[in-house]
Amino acid sequence: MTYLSDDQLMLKVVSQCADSFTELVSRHVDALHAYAYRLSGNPSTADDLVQETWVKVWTHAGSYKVGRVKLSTWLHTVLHNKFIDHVRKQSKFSRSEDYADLALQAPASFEPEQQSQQQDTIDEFAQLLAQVPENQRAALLLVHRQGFSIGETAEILNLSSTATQSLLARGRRTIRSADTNMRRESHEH
Amino acid sequence: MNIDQFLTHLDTFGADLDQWSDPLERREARAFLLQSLEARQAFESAQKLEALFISDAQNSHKAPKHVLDAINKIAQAHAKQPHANNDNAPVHLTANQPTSWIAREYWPTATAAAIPLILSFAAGVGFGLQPSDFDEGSIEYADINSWVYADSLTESTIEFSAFFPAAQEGLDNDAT
Repeated sequence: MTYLSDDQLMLKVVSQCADSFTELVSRHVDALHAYAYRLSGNPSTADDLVQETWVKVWTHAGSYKVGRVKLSTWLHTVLHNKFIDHVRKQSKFSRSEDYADLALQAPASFEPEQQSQQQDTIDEFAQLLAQVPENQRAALLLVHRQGFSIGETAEILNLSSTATQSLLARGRRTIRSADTNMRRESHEH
Repeated sequence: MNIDQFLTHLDTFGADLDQWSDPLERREARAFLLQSLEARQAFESAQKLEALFISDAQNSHKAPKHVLDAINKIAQAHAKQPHANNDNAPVHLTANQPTSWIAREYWPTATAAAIPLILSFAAGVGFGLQPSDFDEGSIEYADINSWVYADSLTESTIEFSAFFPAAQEGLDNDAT
């Protein structure tokens, strides 16, 4: 079977080709779900965000302009907008409550001791993320976890590059401060 | 470069010095790291932080199966005919064909709009235009009514001139 690029597949999705859609889903769904999971801190919210994103891809495939941005950038933009809608709808939305239910798990493929260490790292990471406001968290995740450049992150967040750099700087300061506080508390106990 | 400038750049661009925008600043930062303990501590702290993100990204996160199943149903639900497993095959525009459009979206609306029209027509035939109403007597009666109505108009004119004789005179003068 001939390998088709993301853009070639999207052109077929515009024409309602279900197979091309399935292929795109298999390529991008894991990365999107990971981002949604870390961003929202809630597995069921992540599920909803990812599903809504793919519904939008299927129904509004024509709004993707081939060559303007990478497909992965566009997909993250769609998902991020869904996340903003979600936050706005949740009038009682609370970061700390949402993250209290966080059940991040180390992959089962690790050895027990390695898995325990990995779980500690993941817990620490989740706790740090919980201290960061959503927009700063989004910027940090996009750059450091999802591997986007500052320009691509600016595109996803609909900000200028300067504003994105400022957001990243504030995010790093917030997370560093949270890290210091967490270490101080653990020493006190 | 001083410590404040270094920390500002570290916060803005992160611990990967290759990502710093200005090549001159990159060189200055590398030199400053050798001189300043505070800069080295901040740099190592930033590296540890970024390592957390990278470590998380390296965990092979998989979307749950129920999510994948739900997503794959999106396309199946919208596309009436599954596309052949051949990427070179022409794309079928099943969902966009006009006939399919009408069948799926417009028939319910058209049917709903037609129902009141049909009921109105039926009501008109059933109550207003029955054949028994069209006998000759009815027509004559209707004609008589129209004559009576015409007579009453004539009488109204006479009454008007009786109450306003001056106006009647004026009319007569105008006539002459």
